Amino acid sequence: MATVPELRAAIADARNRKAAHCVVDLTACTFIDSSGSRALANEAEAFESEGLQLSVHCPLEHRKIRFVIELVGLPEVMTVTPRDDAAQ
Amino acid sequence: MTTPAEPGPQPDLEELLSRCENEPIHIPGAIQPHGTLLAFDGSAFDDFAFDDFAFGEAMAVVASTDASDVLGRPLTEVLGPDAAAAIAAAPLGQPLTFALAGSAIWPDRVVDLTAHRSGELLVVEVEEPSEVDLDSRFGVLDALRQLQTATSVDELVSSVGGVVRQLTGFDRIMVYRFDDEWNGEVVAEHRRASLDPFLGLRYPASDIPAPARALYLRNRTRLIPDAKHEPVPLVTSSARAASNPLDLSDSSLRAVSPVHLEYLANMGVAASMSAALVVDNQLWGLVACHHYDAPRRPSQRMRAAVDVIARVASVLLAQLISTAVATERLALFTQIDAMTSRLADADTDVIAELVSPDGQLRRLLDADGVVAFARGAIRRDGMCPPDDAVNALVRALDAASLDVFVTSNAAGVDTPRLREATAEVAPHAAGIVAHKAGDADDTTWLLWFRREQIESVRWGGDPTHKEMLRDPTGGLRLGPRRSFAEYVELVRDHSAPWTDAELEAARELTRRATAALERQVRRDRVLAAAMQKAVLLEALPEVPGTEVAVLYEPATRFGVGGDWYDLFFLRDGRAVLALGDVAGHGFEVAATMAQLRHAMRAYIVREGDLGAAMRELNELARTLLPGEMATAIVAVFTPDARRIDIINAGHLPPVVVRDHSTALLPLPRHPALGLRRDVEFTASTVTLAPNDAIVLYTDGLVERRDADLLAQLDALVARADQLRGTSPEALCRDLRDSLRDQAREDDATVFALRFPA
Repeated sequence: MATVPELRAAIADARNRKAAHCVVDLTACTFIDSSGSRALANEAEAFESEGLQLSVHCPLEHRKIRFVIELVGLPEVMTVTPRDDAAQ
Repeated sequence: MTTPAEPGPQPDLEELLSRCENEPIHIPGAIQPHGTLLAFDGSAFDDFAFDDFAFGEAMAVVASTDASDVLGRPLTEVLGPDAAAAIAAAPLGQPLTFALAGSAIWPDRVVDLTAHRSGELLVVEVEEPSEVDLDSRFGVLDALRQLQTATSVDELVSSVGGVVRQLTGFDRIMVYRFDDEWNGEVVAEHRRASLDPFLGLRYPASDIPAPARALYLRNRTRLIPDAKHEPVPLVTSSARAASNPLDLSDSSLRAVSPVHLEYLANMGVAASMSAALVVDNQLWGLVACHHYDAPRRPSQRMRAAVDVIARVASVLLAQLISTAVATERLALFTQIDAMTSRLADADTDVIAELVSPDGQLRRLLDADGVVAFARGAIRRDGMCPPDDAVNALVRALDAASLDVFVTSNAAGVDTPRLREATAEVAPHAAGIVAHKAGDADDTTWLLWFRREQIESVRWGGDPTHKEMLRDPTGGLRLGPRRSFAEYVELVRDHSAPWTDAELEAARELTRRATAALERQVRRDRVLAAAMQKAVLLEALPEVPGTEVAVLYEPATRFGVGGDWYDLFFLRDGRAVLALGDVAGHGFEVAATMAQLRHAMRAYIVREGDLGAAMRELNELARTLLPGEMATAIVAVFTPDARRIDIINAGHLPPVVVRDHSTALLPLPRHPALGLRRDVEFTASTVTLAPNDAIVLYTDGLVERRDADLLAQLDALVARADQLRGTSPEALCRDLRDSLRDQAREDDATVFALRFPA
């Protein structure tokens, strides 16, 4: 997955197929910025409005990515696994 | 005659093909047998010596004529003094009919004749009168009037076919139109009802080779009254002929290439006549007449009438084509004017105005999709290739330093630097028109796409068929195809072609979009700078009991970004610092941050509580920035207690500079503003020791393309630690100098505060 529009398209596809639970796995993701985080948050909202769930998976040791998604508050608006219990 | 080639030495098909393309058909040394060709040498008409050339076979009506009867005799003797005088008086090419009084060879015969010049020679072509003549077949004037009423190319070509059939009575009249590769398509047809239609069929370019096409520009009609004739060699009394063959370019009796005769025979054609349609000195098409059951020979006068009709039609055709082009151009420019007048008043984004959902830009070029590629972002309308393919294409065009690129066959592009990118586009669009707009350091591409249009081309026989024939002397030559059964070829990977007017419209629209973009950039920069000046404080107010400093540095490109900060007082004397960042650049972003800044002031003054104010700011951001977000960090400080209440909404964490423990300040996470509704914000409290400092900053200070954000934050903490004890002003400057990306692609703001001892 390279770009935000591509990410959106893939997620929208899952939503159209009414996947009850869709997980975006960022394990192999090397870079994400605020527009990527924003896209995820918007999509999570769209899922929720249809009674579906969108969550993000990003290993704790994947620090760069975790830092950015946590910074903009993604864990506050959607499920991000695994949970970072050390976070306040 | 001919037989198919025996297996033998490998014949060179290309060479045979090129022989056909280079056949010297204007000097065949022979004529068709339906008339007599006489060539006279001499400087004055009244004593032309009938010198070098004569005819072979006499006309059927002329009895006992032999070349030896005429060789060496003057025109006045051969045709009689009256005919000679009339030829001298009439313009060249004028068809005449005479009873040859005083003729040595055909006394008192009534004949048709036409004269023309070939080099030094006067050539007279004599034919028996024909019943296919204007005497009995009427309608030339009506025909000319009818042609003038045509209002479109289609109407005209149909009309010309109809009037030629009416006049000449051939079984079938087809109007061919040549394409860029000289394949001829039947665009109009008039035929005897019992014949199969050929309308819409295409004939390959090799059916009418280059020399024949060239000759049509000069001698515009061509008659083969009997396709089954044997040619008659020219006879001459001197040896001069061999070294100086008679040029028959302007002759109507000129012998026919044997390949063509065979082609007609294979098609079942007994007689054929053609007249050229010429537009802008180029062969546009042919009016082709076929007769099937019997030979047919329109008289010289009838052919002259068809020639005039074809010339009139050619002139009308040129007018209609240029009218059609002008009309198309006018329609396109009217659209462009409408679009660009909106660009001129639009306060909004030029790109957004251009690629609007009403599809105007797309429809301008009758495209399936259109993309504006600006600052790495893609804005699309209609059916376009996926973003990856568009990105790759734009990168390839930039790498090849191209400003314009057009194709209607993306799969067939063989420019090495573009091939890979166009191949990626090809599965989604076969036609591409790409134009670079905007200035050098802020490139915008406008790209139009057309889908593949699978076209079934109905060929009149397999166009790839080539047959080798061995002629009676044992030489190899190319045989025409034998089957004219319809052969349907599917042409893939091509879009409908882009017309010249469409390409001109794309150029013009791009030029105007560039001008509008430049205006927009200038206007945006001025407005954004003015707005930011209004938003950002000229100088920080004095805050009793604290030392504060701020350093703001705008981005070098794209104008100001979305950084904002504010410092003001509450009624109880506490000071509020707000620092934020709205994603993006330009006027709209500047407008958003101005609103956020003023709202923040209003909310916190009204609510008196930081958390409540942030909650309202979040709801406002949600409304102001649909699908976008802004980060902010807001602090309220109480100097007496060296205490700071602070809330971070998605922003980079502050750095607290303490003795031996400089670190990023861990704060409870709050989502960025606008990320979702109904967020509870809770302030945290930090207490600083004397001379400790807190540093707030935006991502422009630490983000750079070549370094990882976490590493940059580590560097920031390390550098700040070394600077403990310096003034806030020096701290800001030093951090900027040591961390800021030289490219300065984003705004950077650094704010520092300390409570002195």
